[in-house]
Amino acid sequence: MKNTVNYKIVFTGPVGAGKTTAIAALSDVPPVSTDEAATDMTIKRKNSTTVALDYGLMRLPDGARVHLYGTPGQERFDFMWDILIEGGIGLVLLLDGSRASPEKDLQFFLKAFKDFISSTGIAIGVTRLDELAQPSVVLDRLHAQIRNTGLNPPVFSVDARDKRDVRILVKALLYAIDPEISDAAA
Amino acid sequence: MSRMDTHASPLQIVVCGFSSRNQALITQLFAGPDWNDCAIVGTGPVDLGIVDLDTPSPERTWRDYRNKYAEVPTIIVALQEQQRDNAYYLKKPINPAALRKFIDKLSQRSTGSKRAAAHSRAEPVTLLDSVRNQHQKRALISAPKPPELRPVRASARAAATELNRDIRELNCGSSADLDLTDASIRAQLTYDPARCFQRVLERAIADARRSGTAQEICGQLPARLRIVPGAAVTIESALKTSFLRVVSTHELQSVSMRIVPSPDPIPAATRTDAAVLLWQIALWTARGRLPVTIKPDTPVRLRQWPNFTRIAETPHAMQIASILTKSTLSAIDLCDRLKIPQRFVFSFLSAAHANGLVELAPRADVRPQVAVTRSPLRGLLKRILGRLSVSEAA
Repeated sequence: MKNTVNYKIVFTGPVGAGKTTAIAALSDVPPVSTDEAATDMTIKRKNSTTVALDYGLMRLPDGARVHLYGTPGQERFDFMWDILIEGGIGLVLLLDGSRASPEKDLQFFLKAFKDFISSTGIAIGVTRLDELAQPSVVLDRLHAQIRNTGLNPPVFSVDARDKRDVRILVKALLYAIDPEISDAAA
Repeated sequence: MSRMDTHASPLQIVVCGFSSRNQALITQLFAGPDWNDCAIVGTGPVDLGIVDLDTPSPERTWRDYRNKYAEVPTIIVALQEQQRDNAYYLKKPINPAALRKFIDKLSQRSTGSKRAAAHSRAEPVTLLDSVRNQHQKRALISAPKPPELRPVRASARAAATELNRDIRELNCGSSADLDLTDASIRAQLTYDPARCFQRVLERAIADARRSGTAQEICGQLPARLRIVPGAAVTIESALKTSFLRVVSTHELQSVSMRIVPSPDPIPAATRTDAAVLLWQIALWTARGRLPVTIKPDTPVRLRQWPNFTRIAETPHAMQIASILTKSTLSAIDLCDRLKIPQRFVFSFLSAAHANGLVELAPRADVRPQVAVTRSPLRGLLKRILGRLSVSEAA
């Protein structure tokens, strides 16, 4: 039987940032989601939440598979994160721009995935900005904070329901990892 | 009257966003004798879309449509002008002759000639005259060409490619690379934003930000354009996109425009993030050139990535952004390193510079740094990139 080559892109971020939706936007197969009714503080943001992981799959023309894994949002599941990032080629961080302090979330996730980011790459999507009167202010604040970390990754406003936005974010991740991959679409 | 080959398979058209009454009307229209070469379809391959955006939630309508038909050439019908990727706007109420013309145009574009997007070196003229001339010229250019008989579906598919190329030329020009060792040639690749609408807009945005009061650009504009300050500056405008594009391509006469405080909002105006509009205006103005403030051999660096999900993306823009957020390189070195045409690098730098994202490094002080390493996964990354691009085109 022919061996299939497998790779992995990891999606992370706080509860309700749109990880499940973003994976669904990219996946070639119906995404697998382990959502359960929320019983904790999560219920303030949505009725159900991912308790184990989200899973989607992109098939490449040569038969290789890129698995799309979404980490559960709540910190109490962070023991799973190290397992999920094993062998990953990059990290997509989705932040909920409508939360009280997306900067704190940013700080938390950059710290939690520090080693993984430094050995691969990261692209950051900020969701729910359309709910704000002045969305670019949130992006500016996040950029300012990231500058202090010595990183300069792509940070875009993203509607996780919009396939185009999610594709642009993942493309930016690929270019952030290696800028000299050829741009087939150009 | 249709100019299409009636012996070819009908053009497969999907309609979205219409109320049931309007859908019935458009179905009735397409059932008429002049529309035998078009068929409204509900499933299967689609050559062209017609989308009504006068819905309770136009953004959702558009998003759902594009999720389903990502790169299909599209005609948007609405009461207010709409500017969307890969789409033409047709004002309501729908004039059947105008709709026919649009459909013919979209299905015949592959036979069309090159559009006027090359660098224009126009002498200063009065703005309204130049806009009028441009409109007349554009009308001539965009008039449907005599038909070259070919399968309609292939033609419509080619229209998407042609449309993308046209947009690319409007944003980046079409100039070939120049030999920059010749000083006289170097002058050809720069432009002075101070003589262009771009600088007026930059000044108005800066004034609004500094004073905390709304500003308006007056003089030679057929409709109002107002800059509203706040933590994020927004622009209210009743100007058509086509007008703004033409204004951007011409040098302005001195004192032809002025900036004044403007307390009164513009009724029924479109609102745009100032950075997004300024990015687009800078692209239209530069058309593949550098602003005089950036020398082609001066090392530059990018303060941060532009918000690519909201701005007009030009070819290779992500590669350029990725390298310049990690390294300091001159425009010329960047072209050499990425092996891409100068116009794409110059356009990107012009728009990024207009938005304050470019940092210039004095050549004497800073040696070009290249902190970009080749990923061992380059082959895989290319294949994923290709896969994402295919999804966009599907």
